[in-house]
Amino acid sequence: MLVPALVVTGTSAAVAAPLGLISVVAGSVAAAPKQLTERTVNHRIGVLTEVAATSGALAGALLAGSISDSFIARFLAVVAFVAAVGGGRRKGMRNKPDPTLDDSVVGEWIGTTAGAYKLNGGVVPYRLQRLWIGLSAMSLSGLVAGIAGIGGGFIKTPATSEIMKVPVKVAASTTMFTIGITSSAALIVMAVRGQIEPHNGAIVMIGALIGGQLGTRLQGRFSPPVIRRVLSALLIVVSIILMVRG
Amino acid sequence: MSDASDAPRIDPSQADREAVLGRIVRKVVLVAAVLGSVGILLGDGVGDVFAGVALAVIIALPLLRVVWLVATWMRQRDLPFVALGTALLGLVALGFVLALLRR
Repeated sequence: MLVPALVVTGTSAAVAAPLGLISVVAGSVAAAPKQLTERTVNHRIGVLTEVAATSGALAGALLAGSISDSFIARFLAVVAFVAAVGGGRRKGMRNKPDPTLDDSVVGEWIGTTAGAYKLNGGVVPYRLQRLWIGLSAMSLSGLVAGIAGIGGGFIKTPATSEIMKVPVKVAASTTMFTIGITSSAALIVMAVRGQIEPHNGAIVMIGALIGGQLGTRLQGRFSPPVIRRVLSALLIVVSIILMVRG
Repeated sequence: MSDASDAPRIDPSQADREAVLGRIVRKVVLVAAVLGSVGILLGDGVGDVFAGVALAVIIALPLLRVVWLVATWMRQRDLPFVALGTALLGLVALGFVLALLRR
């Protein structure tokens, strides 16, 4: 959201891109303590999907420049719209608490892409499904992230939730973890190239640290259907912004 | 990799480890926020040094978390995920090297 806002208000894309990535990585880091305590991040799913996304991002970075900005923006707009409709149409909760499980199984399960998380006093088990389709979507998200210089979270969360059938709270927390890795890797490259301006970077960092804390606290107060509807609404906004920019 | 239909293998100390990691991250973020704020207040010159250190700390944290995960999975003998975590760090390093070469 920050990069389109900066570009619309006259900042060049070259200056806006590292600031956008700083906001992503700071938001990711700020959210980490609460998500680690609640055990809603599935690190194994995160690392598995991030290998595909980073591979795609590397390919995207190599392709960058050979595809027009207008095409990329319109393509991203369509992806965001499809993700919004897919998440918004689903009713109710797919993963329900299992009364036979207790708190001892909460967290990620060793050697698997399965796990359980706490919800409304119960324990909800889940397991990743449709792995290869999901990994293809992650590679695609990495590809467009590498080409367009964005975090790609708006593709990753719906792909994890709607394609791989991971509960939306776990999908959102896990995506928050993985976009921090992608952005961190990109920022190291930008730092080597001297593209990061420390003063403005620190201002964005402080804002994102505060925003990340607030967002994580709000996420804990709302049910998965509410989070899904808010996510769908945000995706529609992203889609419109991208279509207008394109 | 098996799935959830198998009996789950749980590391009972993992919750404590993640809670400790969460507390460490919270403290490091606080330090970075203070350094960043001092950097903003001091402005150019010395302020940029403080801001740069704050940014470096925040940028390093996600990758250090992956290193911590690889070490944890090694302790749990979860070798497929040790390999995946190592591959991820290798890909990040490859991207860095490619960027240096194309600079």
